[in-house]
Amino acid sequence: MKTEQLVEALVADRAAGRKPISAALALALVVGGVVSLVLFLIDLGVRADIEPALATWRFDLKVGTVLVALVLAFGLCLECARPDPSGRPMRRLLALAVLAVLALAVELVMVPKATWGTRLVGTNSLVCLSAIPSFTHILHWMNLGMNSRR
Amino acid sequence: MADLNDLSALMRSARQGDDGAYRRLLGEVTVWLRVVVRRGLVSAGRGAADCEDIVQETLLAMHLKRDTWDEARPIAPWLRAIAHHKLADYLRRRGFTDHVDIDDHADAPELAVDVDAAASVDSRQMLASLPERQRRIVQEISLEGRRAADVARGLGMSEGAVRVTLHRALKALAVFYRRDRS
Repeated sequence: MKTEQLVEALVADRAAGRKPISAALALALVVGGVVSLVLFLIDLGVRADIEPALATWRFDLKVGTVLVALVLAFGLCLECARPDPSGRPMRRLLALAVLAVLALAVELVMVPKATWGTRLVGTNSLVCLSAIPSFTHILHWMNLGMNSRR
Repeated sequence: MADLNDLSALMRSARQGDDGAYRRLLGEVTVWLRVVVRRGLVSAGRGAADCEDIVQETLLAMHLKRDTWDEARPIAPWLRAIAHHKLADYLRRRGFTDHVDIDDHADAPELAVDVDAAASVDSRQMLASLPERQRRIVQEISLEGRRAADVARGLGMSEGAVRVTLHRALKALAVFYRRDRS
């Protein structure tokens, strides 16, 4: 095939309108968020003491850390999808790491030493260790299936 | 050779649905790529025989990933980055691990490019590897210059189905390029 002929094929393929990757990713984020929220409400539900919890800064710090991670990960995801990422995108995660370490230190100072083990590892660690990889695998295979059908 | 950043206007028009602008854009990029790839190959101590294969692989990548260019940024770094990656991919497949900096060569005087050799070596086998229907559609659109609507009528398919099949075929070609062929 000559390059000029390939160009013709590419021009013919261009009509399939595609939106910029940032819009596609934002849409995926919204859809994923809604699905997660529904699953959360069906399966877990909002804790009864949510209002007093939100009033404590230690709880807010947890929510805040997750939101910071979300914003940074979204930007990083976009940068990594580009062939020419600007600067050193990974460095942006530094802020998140600092925040997480600070929050951890604060938490350890506030709670009694005897409960550190449970606080750090939790009581469901074995469930998490098996559930997270299985879910990841299921999502991975679903994703592969979608790609091959496209 | 046109300034690469001038191409951003063409890309913008192409995104608005201007076929002519996209054709011109790909033409300009092809001319630039041939020079850059050839220099990259020569500076890596390779023959330029596979030049056109790399040019085509790069064009396919740019096409399939064109939505990763952010209109707010200049287009030249984006083009250079893809060309750089594809050249490095090729050299790595052939067992070459040194750093390739295409910018070192981008400003040198143009090398003569033999346009007669503009048919890539591997793509003939590549086309043959496609499923029958995909191959026919690529051939009719690219070799015979027919429009998607006409091809659809000839094959008794809808125009949308032809476009989807064409897109699949192009993706398959890109995968074929990525495979280790050495």
